Amino acid sequence: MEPLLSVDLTSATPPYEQIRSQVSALIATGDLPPGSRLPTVRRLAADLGLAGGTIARAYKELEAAGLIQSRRRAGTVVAPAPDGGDIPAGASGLTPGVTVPAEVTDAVGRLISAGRAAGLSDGLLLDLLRSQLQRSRRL
Amino acid sequence: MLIPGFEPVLGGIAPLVLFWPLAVAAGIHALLRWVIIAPGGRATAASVSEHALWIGVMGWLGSSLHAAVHAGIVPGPASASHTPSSTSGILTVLAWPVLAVLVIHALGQFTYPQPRRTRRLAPLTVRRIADFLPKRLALVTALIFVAAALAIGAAAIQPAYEAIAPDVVPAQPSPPPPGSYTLDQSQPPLYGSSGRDGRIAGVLLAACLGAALLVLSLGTWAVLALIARRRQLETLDQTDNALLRTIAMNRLLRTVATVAGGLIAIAGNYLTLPDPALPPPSVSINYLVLVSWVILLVMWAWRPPRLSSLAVSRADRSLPVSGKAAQPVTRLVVSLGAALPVAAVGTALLLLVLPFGMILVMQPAILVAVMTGAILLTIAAGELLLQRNYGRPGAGKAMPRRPLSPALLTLAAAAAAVFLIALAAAVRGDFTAGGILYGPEYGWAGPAVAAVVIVALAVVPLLLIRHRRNCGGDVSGLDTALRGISLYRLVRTVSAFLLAQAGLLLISESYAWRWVFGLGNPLAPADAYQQWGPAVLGGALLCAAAVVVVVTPVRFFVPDVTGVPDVPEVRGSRAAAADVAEHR
Repeated sequence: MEPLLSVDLTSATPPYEQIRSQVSALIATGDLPPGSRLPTVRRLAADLGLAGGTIARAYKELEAAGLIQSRRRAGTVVAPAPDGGDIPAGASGLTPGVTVPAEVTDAVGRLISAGRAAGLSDGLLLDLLRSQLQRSRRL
Repeated sequence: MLIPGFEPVLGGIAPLVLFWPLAVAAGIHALLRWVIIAPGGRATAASVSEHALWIGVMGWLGSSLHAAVHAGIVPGPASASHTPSSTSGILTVLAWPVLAVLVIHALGQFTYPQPRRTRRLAPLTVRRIADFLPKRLALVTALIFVAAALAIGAAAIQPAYEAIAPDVVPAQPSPPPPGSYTLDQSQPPLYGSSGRDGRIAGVLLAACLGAALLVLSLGTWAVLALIARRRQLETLDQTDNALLRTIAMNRLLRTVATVAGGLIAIAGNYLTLPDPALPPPSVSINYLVLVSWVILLVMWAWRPPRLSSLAVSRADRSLPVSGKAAQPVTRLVVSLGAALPVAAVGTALLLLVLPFGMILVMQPAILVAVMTGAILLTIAAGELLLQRNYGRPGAGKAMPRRPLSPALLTLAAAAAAVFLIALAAAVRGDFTAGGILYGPEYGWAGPAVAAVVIVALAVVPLLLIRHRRNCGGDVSGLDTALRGISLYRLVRTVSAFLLAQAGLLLISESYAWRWVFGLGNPLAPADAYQQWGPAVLGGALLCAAAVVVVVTPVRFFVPDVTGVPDVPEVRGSRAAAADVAEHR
């Protein structure tokens, strides 16, 4: 299945940040493997109905974090991992060089499914996750 | 370096030549935008499908190489033909259809609406042509392009023939041209009596045809890339978005394949022209024209896929829950829809066998009026039949809450306005030109009288639709739906008639626009009634639009024909109405 970007214009998070975080998450989970070509700024802006500058800013931050590279001929591609591994280092909260195990990705998927089934909003789900993370840190 | 036979093309282009294509392109853009967002204000799977169809139809209409079919043939002195035989003339008649196809399909891609929802989705992948290309059709199209290149190559090595003036007997016969198959060359030399057509050097024609084929190939590739890369539609899912691109590619490839087939036919006409220095062959078979006809038929039959969401909704509608099949009155209204084109065509055929009927058939404005009158009388007869078979004396009558959709209302108003403008221009031009010569010719009087008669005749079915008895039986809302459908058929017919008459007026009285725009020369009386190309082109487009309107299914204008709330009690009537609308 092809990876999808979702931008919520009513969210308090700016659109460029939503794009940046989702792309970095897709790279971390391996949905966007190293070498994958990303759409051009103009193409993605047209698909999302956003200004080109918004996409350009997200790409610029991803490039600065070493997650993607802009190549003259190939366009924008996912950067290879610095140690030659599958998952590149990230600067978006993901620890560089650390892979995300499949069972963790599955668990997050199950959390989202259960939340949606219970009618919980995305914001509430994130709050729940944050509070659980803080509680586990205190233990 | 100037090659002999080649004249500068761009140097002779008047500024007005670019104005009309731009105006037509703007009109097509506006029409396509209207199609995709009407009538609910946002693109739906149905409107997207109609939009794709309109692009294909308009591209097809613009692709005609009719004006270039005898390109490269030098008319004999006795011939009244206006065949382009100069390179600039050939390039001009080839450029319009080639560019029209490409521009219309490209415009179509630019008319898709931007996302409007607050939650936007986009695939994070690079879209390539190969992801959506219908492979078999692309292969066949490529083969047709190769065949066109070969035919053009064969034309390139042919010599020129001098056209022969009347009563001039050639001295040196030359061998027959390759590509022509003559069955009998033993005819007596009747040549030279009335003049014979010649042709330009093959290399000149091949250069023009080759340039057209090259532009067509590169342009097709560019439009395919545009189709693959244009924005996603938020109202369609990923599957349908991909399918829509495949549909657009299908229609583009089929059209450019027929244009390439047309280039093959032009090369064939050139190759099979007999040497005027030789006795004319009794039978000459142009195989390349046959090939172009086969291409045309194959491309007509090569249908695009359907959007999966539309296929699902169609399947849903056929479920027994609708109850539409249980309504005999619905079946009758469906039959009446099928009878309308039969009535129109049948009347035209009847005119052919009636005494003096041919006189009417030869007058397009009158013929169109007679066919329209037949449709209106069929609608009226249908209402009488409904009342006789299913009318209930005591039951209430209810017209639809919203008798005409904004789309159809706009169309009707636009058609009436266009007709009145065309008529006013024709009247003014006629009196201006007539003032210079021997008085007005009143060529506009026939269409004007025909329009008055048809509008008056339309009142008959209108009154019957309004006042007939309730025919809905026990199904709530069905009678209203059926009245709505008849009303839509009536307005659609009158709108198409007005568009056709306006188009015919523009064609037959095209000189009038020369005077309206102040381009006529009062000091040149011989040119007072000279045709004006842009008006003729506009007229042809209006006639094509009239044909499109009259064959457009009612459902295009009737998203909710009943105006009845969607509650279980009336769902049967809704489905019935939808079923009737589906069948026009």
